[in-house]
Amino acid sequence: MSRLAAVPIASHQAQAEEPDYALVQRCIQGDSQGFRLLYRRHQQRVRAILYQLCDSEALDDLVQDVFLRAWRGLPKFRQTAQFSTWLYRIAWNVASDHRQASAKSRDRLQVFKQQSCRRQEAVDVMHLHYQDMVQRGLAQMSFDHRTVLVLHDLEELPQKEIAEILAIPVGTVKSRLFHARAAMRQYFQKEGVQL
Amino acid sequence: MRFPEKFPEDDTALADFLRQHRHAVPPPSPDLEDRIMEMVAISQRSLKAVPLHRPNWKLRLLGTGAIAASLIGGLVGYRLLTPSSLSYAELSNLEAYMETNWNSALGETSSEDVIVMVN
Repeated sequence: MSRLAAVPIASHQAQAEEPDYALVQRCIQGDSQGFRLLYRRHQQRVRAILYQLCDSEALDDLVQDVFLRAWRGLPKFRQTAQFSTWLYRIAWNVASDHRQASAKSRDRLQVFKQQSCRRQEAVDVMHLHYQDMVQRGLAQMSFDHRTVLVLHDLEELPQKEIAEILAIPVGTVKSRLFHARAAMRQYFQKEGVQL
Repeated sequence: MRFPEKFPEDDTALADFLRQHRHAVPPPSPDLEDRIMEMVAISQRSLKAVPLHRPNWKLRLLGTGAIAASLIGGLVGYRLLTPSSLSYAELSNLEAYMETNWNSALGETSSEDVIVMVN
């Protein structure tokens, strides 16, 4: 049975339309169900960002870490920024911490290859090759460039929001994006792919 | 390092390629949401058990005042209880007393004791 079925449909729809700031207020007042709705609303994107930045097998743990940090930090959250911007910043911090912690552990490329082998039967070989290339291209970048490329080109966040998430000027976002794309194009060229 | 005069806003060919060939994000484990909510509930309980609010300003002011008062009281007490210096007459009396005692003590020394000390 779906967990969503536990909430009556009418009230669930009403809650789904409730804006983030109202849910945040409910959370601050101790209503954890408000936080459940925030989780459902944002977990997909947080998950995608973490996966593109860490491509980790510990993805569930990282997502959990992000939302627990968010819950604990909610009383200090200033509603001058959007909740999503603040949440993505936490996700970026968690990804950054995870990368530092796992820098000495096994090569992430190995993990990717294992995953590729598992999926090989079901997926087109050329697509798989390109997936491998994209993943390796992201992996060879600096974390700063990778972050901006993931947030802008993959998650399609506006540059202004990325600047807020990373606490850097918009000009720096533009500059990093330019260099990240150049590095990615150069990598693809080296691999024999011309875009 | 040379920077371009302006950074192009879009590189749609590259962005499309990346989006088309990025890895699919693995789905969350079915119990992840409940796990997170459970941790949230635990965190909520611990926050209720140990209230983090600070004592109000009146209490803090009262505490600071009490500390200051006890410091001042200690200083005053020290000054009051410390004996003041003796007057000239008292010193003369004391000196005379000590001199008398000393002489009487020496005067009582027997000749045997003196011999023992010499030996």
